[in-house]
Amino acid sequence: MTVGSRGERPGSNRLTPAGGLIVAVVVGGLYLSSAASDRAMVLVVWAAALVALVVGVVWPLVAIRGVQIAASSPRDATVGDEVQIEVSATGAMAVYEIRVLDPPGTWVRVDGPTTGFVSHLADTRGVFEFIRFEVRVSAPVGLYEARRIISLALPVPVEVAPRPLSVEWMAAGAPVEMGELALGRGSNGGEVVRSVRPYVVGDPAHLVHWPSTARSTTLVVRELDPPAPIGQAIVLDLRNLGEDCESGAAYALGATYAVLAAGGEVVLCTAESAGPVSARVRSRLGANRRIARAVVGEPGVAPPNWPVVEIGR
Amino acid sequence: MNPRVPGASSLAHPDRSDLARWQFVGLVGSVVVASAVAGYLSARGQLEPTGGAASGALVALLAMVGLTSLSIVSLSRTLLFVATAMMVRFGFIGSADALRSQVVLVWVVAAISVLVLSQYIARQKFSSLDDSLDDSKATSRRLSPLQTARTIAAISAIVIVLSLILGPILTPRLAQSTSTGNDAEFPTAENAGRSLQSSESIDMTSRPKLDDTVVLSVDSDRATFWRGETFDTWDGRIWSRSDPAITAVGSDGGVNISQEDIGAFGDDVLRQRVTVEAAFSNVVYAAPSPVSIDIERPVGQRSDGTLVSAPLGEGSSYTVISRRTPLSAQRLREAETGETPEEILAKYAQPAIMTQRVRELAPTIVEGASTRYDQILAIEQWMGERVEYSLDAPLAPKDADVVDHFLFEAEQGWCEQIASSLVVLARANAIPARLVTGYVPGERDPLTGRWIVRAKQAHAWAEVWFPELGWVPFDPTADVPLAGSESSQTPLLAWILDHLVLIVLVGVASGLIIGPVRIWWRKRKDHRSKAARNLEWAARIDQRLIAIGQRWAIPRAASQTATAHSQDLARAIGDPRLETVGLAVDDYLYTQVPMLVEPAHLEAILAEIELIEIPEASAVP
Repeated sequence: MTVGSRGERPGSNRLTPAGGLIVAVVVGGLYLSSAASDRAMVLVVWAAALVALVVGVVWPLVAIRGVQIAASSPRDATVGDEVQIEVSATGAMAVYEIRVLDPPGTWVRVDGPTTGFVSHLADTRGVFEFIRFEVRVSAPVGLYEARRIISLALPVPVEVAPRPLSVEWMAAGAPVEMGELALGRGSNGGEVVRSVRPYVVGDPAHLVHWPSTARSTTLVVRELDPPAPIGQAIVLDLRNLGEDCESGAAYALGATYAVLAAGGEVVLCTAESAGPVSARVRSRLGANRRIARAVVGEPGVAPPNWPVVEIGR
Repeated sequence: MNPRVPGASSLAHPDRSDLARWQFVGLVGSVVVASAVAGYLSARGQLEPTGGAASGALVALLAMVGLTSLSIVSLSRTLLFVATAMMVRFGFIGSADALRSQVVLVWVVAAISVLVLSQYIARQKFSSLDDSLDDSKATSRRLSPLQTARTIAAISAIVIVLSLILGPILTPRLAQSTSTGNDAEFPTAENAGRSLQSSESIDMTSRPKLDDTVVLSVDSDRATFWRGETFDTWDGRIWSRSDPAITAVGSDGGVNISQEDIGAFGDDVLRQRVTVEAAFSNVVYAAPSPVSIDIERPVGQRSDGTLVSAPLGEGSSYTVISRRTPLSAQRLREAETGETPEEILAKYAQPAIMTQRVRELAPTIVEGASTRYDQILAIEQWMGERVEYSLDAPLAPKDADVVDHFLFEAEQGWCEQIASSLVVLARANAIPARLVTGYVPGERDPLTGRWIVRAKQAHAWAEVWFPELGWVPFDPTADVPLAGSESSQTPLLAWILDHLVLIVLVGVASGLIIGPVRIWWRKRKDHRSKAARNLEWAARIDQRLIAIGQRWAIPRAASQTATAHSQDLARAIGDPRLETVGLAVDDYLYTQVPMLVEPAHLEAILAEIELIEIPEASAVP
């Protein structure tokens, strides 16, 4: 597969090797003709080569103006993964090649109006609203390549998260509000008996406190203290990380995953383009998107009394 | 083994592995044709053009089919470039042979085919956008052989047409006025027919052996006779020249114009670039009267204004500027008033050697003609009525006067006897005349516009001297009818054979271009008529609803849709199906909703409604 590894500059029109040969014929042909040849006929042949060269140059330059493409992509991606970009090629232009840029991908052939998928390597973290394609037309005679860079706005911006680093997290208590925990955990966590109460339909059988039940004539159950909430506030400050920005982001994401995997609550404090953000993250997807949007800037402030991990400070 | 391309193996270059058979055949065929053309045009010496073509084709075929480890794209383009370079550098691309010039067109089409096909094949190494879809969802058009052929035809047509327009524009700007050509091959018994050799005399008792060999090609704006030599002394059998002296033309190419050559001072200028296609020529052929010449050999002139040169070989060319006085019948008749110089009369108007009966005949022919011009016309007309043209005419017997034998005995002859007779009869009437030999204009090459002159187009005509005008050419052969057909081919058939390649190319290109245009036009007509038919159906249903409404005294208001009207009708008539009809009409006319009800079903509903008898209170009065 051809990749932009030859050092070719995207978007620049160029003569193909065959075109270069035709130029050589056009430039040198008149002087190399046989002395016995009829000059008038040699000029006809020369004129044919010249016209073929002109047609070979003009046709792609005109045809490339008729290329119309539209693209859409999934919302989420991870650095290093191949993202399938859906490309819809319309327009009257019959044959051309396209490839995604940033980074330059492999050329894909388009033979008329069609729709398909093009793989694109997500190599950079961030939120991308535009995608650039390079279009190349050299048909029909392959003497000249007309190229054009098309920048398309994606219907939904792509949020590319870093690849998380593997992080171990020591659980720490966090002052999470009870109501939130009750919604999240139920009331059957914890081991400390706080009191007894009458049985309610649905209480687990193992919580029945038989001694109290025997003394009273009603079924009573133990009421346990809710478990101590665990969580972590993670502050990601990219201002001073320099080249280690992405490593820092990857660590932050890894840490978030670790907390979520342990059942803890996570507050991510980052800087986004709109300003500092400090908000709860409830899922890996959410974490991906938050880290994807993180930019260099003053991050949000961690909530009070939360265990805080500061990355970049 | 790949079933698509014959002979493809695991060692074959990757771009051969996914090649469609038609692509392989088309590309190989195009390269073979281009190489064959190069071989045809480059063949020299012992190798005939057809042998050259076969060699080129064979080499290309072996390379394309045998060298499977090489990229077929690179190989085809390399072979095309090599063939082109050979053709340009070594090929004798000449317009002299009409077939050669048309063969160049074949090369153009073959070269473009190679470029287009190799380009399409080169693109196949990239995956297609369609490959990411299921076959059922792939919607793009695959490039078919017909599409490719049409592309090739369209580009070839553009290239050929523009190059034919550009070529003649560039020729006067870029073409050199002279070229050295090959070394001259001195005339021998074998190549005498391909030599243009100056001679001091012409023997009218020998039959010329002429063939289709091209001897000259002339780049000129108009057709004219290409004069070579003149003769002024007749002994009854042989024409010769009274003054054989030749003087050198100066290095500036200016011809020393004699006073008798009044035409050389005329206003009508003609520039001719003559290319020698024969193996040898030392005669400079040009329209009278040459006033300057650009040539890369020494050239001399005679007192009669004709030019001779050092031997010129095949491919040599020279440029001659000629002048003449514009002529008309009126001007020729009015030229009577001037005087003829004594030198002219002495050299060209003294009665030539002739028999008594020719001498007696001469004044009777011109009786009644008051001017020199009319006298010449009378002689031409007389010969046209009495003699016939034939290359197989009997030769004059030994010691017989050729003119006498021609006019009275054979009454058949070719241009030499006919022109000689005009000169002799003119001189018998004291009209200055001389014999001229050269070539007729020839055929015009359709590609370059050059005049192609063949050996068989050698000709003899007469020049008559007129006061104030100088030497004026007369071709009495034009007035003499043919004794019989000289060619087994009709002129039309001969033209078709000469232009066969061009006709085939134009036919193929037209078919490839006209075909899709016709299909597109037909589709457009069908689409329009289909749309019109559909609209007719909806309009017809609507009209019936309106008619039902009128019949039931429930006319449709101007602002009412078919749906609303049909709802009113449905309530009044008591048939809810009418609502369906109105809704279907509106949906069809104004929305993209597909039809759920067949038109025939709707028409059946209306037919039933139309049969319902109207209660008296509802009927339209």
